[in-house]
Amino acid sequence: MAPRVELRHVTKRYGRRVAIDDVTLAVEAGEIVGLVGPNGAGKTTLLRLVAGLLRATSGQRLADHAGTTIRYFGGERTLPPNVSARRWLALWSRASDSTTSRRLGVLSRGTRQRVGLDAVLAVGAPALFVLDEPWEGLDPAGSRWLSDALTRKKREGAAVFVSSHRIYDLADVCDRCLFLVNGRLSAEEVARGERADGDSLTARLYGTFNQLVRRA
Amino acid sequence: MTDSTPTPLRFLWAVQPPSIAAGCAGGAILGFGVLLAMTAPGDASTIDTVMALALFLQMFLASSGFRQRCLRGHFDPLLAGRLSRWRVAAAHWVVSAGPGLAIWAAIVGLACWVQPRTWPAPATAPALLAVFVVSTVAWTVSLPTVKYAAGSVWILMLLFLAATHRLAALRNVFYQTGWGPSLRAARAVIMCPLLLLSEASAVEPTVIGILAAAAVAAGVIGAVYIVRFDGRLVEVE
Repeated sequence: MAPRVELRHVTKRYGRRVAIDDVTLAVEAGEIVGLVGPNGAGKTTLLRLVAGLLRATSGQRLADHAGTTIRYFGGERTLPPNVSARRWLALWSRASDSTTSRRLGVLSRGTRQRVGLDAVLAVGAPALFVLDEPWEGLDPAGSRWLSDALTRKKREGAAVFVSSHRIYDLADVCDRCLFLVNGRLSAEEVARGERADGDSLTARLYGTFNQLVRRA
Repeated sequence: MTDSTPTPLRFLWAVQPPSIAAGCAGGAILGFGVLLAMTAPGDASTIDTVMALALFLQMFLASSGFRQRCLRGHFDPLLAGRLSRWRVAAAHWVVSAGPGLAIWAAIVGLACWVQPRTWPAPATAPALLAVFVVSTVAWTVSLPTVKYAAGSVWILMLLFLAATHRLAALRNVFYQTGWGPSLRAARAVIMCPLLLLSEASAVEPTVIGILAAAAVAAGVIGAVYIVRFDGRLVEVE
């Protein structure tokens, strides 16, 4: 079954504070949707709502669970520090390399990020991948590896929802880019068909982002 | 490559395995029991001592915590996209209470060795209930608080009861009959689970029923806590 998730008029409150305000979106199989927003905009909360880790205060989350795998990665800081990298990868049926017998807590940030992503992407069936700032801490080779892996997953029928502050990385892989400011989806840029001219696309996404942040 | 999502039990065993200190403590208790059994063969108090020590250990082992790890995102891969968290709750109880229950099973074996012709004391209804109550209540109390919270509270409570000379009064309620004393006896066991071992012969079936129901209720409360948990991620440097 094709992975798909949809939020309809979803609002999430933490006490009195509105973290996500009346958001409607869908992530379909075979597409990569990017999420951009300033710090504190609610990106992580939105991703966690999409992944089913948080419950919406109001609104609906629709996901085809039957036969669909949902993989969420919240960044290297969310990995359990007491588990060895080798064991963590084995848990997700990934063969580990020679550098991974140490505990995750003592590894460098970039290595932890890579191990976490390796585990998350270790799924054969078409899945919904929800990734929070996955390029953070990766070196250029790691960034390239991740972009290629996401593009490959998309071709295999996966649905990918990914947030990042690195607009140039998002522009490289995304079909659509959503902008979140103060908990509201403020704009959507269609990136499809512009891949050949990545620089102008990146510049346009930056332009939209700056405009929205100034307005907020 | 196929879908390689681990089962809740496998995931939780990897993420929160019993500590080395816990293993050493369990081994020390069993070793102490074997030593007592060899120096005083046939002495029934050997098993009573070992059971009491194991119960103390279980107060800490089963108190494994959930909220803190969950808010740090350690359980995210397990909980993402899951329609029901009941299996996760059940697996969390098993991983938390399992090591202590394994030690208890070893004590049953020790009891069979020490007194081969009698039914092993750790396998009697009051003793099994004691370890079940401690496992479940400690697990539930620690879910919204911190690891070892229940064990710490229990130890402080026992010290307070001992210091204020109230343990004798708690014991006396086991020798009265009626619903009122039964409820008071159940309350006394919640405060001091060791009473189920020391007053085993005086524990009425009513008290056993009340305590079993209370322990099951505590377990259900804990499971509901995990199923309904909805917290905001905290940043940990």
